[in-house]
Amino acid sequence: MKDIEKRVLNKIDDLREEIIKFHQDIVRIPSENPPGKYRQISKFIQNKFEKLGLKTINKRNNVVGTYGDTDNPSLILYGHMDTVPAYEGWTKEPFGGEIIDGKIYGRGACDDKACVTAEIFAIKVLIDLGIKLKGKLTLISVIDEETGGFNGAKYLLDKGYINGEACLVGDGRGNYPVAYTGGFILATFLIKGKKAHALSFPDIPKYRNEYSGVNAIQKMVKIQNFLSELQEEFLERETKYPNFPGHPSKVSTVNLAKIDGGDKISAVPDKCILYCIINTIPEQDVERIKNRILTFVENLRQNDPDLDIKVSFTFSFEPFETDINTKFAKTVQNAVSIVYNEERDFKFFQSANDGHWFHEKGIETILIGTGTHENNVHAEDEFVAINDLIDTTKIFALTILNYLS
Amino acid sequence: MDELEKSVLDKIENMRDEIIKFQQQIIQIPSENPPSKYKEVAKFTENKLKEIGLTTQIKRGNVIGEYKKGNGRTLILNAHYDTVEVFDGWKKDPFGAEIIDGKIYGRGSSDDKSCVTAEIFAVKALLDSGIDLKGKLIVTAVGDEETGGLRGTEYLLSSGLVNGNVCLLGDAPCDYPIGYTGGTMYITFTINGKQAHGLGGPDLPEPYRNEYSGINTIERMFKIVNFLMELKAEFLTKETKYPLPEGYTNKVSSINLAEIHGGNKITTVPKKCYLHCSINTIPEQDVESIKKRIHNYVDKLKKEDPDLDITVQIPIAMEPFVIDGKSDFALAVNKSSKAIFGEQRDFKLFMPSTDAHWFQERGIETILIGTTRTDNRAHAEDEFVYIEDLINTTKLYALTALNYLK
Repeated sequence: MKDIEKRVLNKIDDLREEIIKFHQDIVRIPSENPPGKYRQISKFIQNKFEKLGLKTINKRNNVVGTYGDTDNPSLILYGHMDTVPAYEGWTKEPFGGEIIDGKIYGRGACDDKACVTAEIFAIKVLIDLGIKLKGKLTLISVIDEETGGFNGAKYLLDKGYINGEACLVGDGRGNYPVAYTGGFILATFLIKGKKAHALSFPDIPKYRNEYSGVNAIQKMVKIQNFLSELQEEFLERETKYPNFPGHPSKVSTVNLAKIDGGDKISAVPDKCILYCIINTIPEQDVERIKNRILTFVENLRQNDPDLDIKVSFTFSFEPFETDINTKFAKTVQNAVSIVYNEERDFKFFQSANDGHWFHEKGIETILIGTGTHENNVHAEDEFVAINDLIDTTKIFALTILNYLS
Repeated sequence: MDELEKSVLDKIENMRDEIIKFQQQIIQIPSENPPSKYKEVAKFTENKLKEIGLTTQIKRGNVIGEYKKGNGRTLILNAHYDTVEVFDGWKKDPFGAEIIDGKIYGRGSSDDKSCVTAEIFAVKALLDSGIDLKGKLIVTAVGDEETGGLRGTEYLLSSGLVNGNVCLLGDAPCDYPIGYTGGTMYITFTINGKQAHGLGGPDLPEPYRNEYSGINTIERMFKIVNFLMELKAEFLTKETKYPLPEGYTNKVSSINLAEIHGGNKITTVPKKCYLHCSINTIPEQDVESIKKRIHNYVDKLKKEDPDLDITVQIPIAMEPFVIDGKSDFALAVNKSSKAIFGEQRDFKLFMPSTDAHWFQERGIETILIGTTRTDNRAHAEDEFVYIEDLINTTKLYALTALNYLK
């Protein structure tokens, strides 16, 4: 470890109480998505950016702060401040920021306010130590990640409010850098049928007349069975990329997430909607899977004139792989290895996050978040271990330091 | 047609305007179920029964009117005044009772207020004609039919408030009496699983599972759904030998997947899923054995899949019934239909569930005849009844009572 690195890490340890306090402050400001009310948290974070000496802009409540020389290598450091809703079942106060046994509890404590706190204190330490950066650092704290990123990361990139050569996306698991991500498809199947009295005019094709109903739930069965077959086929394909320890799956998954059909026991249902999420391994091709689904549906349609079905791929993106031999990748890997005091290799992470937006713009993208699969992310009693929060701050700080100086 | 029959039919023809007016008034009193507020419609019906000369009482919102002379047999007339909700999409006023082209529009105009009107005026015609009936005539106008009948017909029978030899029930198609009814089951399957992050803890088989894996309830429910579809395919291979009324095509047993809800969020493995379905059978089937097959299948699934936490509820299960076409009652119905339609109308099969089974299970022979046609839009928007069908049903009730009790 270089001397300068050691000073940075020590300084972060000195700031421990301040980091904890700031983190509690932002956990206590609700920023659930939905409903997506971000004004207060956005203002709070922008103020903090300004206090550090960053040049800030605020666009649609996304906060962007820049620091340093604009002509040289530039790095984007990312965190998102929106969270999923609190939901029910908490034994802790979801907006309390309570500390128990070295853990800070609250919605977003881990996903992803921990990375917002970490990025802020990472740059603060470098500034406090008077370290000159040779390139430009862009710090962003965005909204809308939990609902796709269209008004967050994508919006900032499309409008040119941010750009850079490399991006460290602070989201997802901690402990290992991520250079391989899976693809993602949100598929929605909407089937419309015809309502009718279930007992007088049931949906029995051979015995139809003009009054017969068309059962939308029954027509969904074929779709569901097709998706089950896809899942079985996908299970055969394991990824060659290394997975996180404790992560359940090295395979592609099809999750039937939500279904609603019909509203009355005595009626033939005229509507059924199924939401399904497909996660792929890096070796798969999202576009091809989409085409297979569409082809299957097209065949169904041709064989069933009563089938009124609409398939929407509301959201999908391809898997990506980042070159792990670049200066940036090596910088991140080195930072992780210093903080954990051992060599850590790049992992594969199968999750929908904002990483692909950066990758699609040609920005070199590596991900690293906070914590493990035990943090109750998206569930009740979410927490972040204070040590993990500090470690993430250190990884971010060392990455900025070594990439931009 | 004999003399007596003719005089009763003439009487009804003369009451035509009065019948229409009463039918409009009863439609104008909402009695949707839910919320099942019946006080006003019950009072209105009771008053009319009193006015025509019956002894009346209201029990839990159900109206009973009795006429008794001597010690003969007892005929029960049964119709229900509760209706399904209005729901959306009406072009007519659902409580307006507007008359257009010989049709009266409104929720319940066909199902089943038309039969309440018909039973009242059938009795009025008989009493006004001064006909000497022997025995007892009970007119019942009940609530709760649309939600199973437990607080309506079942209550009146189980409490002993109503008892009789035979029952003529409305709530059915017109033109042909119904002597054969199918079986019905309502089934609810509820599956409880384990919520997890859809990406972090997907529901995968071994060796991909760990303690964080979710248990996907929608996926498991589709095993049930596929089983039900297999049952349905099997049922399709057996047609009933009993004739159906015109326009009703289901000669086979059918299974309707009525409602399914599971999950609440696209990013999670859904923790709960439930499915409501109904099965209606042809008279040749028996409900008890279908119930057993479902339970057996579910037990088998449970054995195969230790993560399956499933509950099966069958709140309604009624067996099919077939009448004896040679009984006095059946013959009385036959004679009446011949007088009205100029030809004898044979008994038909009706699959939908009504309150009939409550009588049938108690050994009370039950024949159905109502005012419904395939185009009446019962349970849908712009429900209506043809005035001609309303009058004919009134006539059928009157003559059947006459022929059975004379």
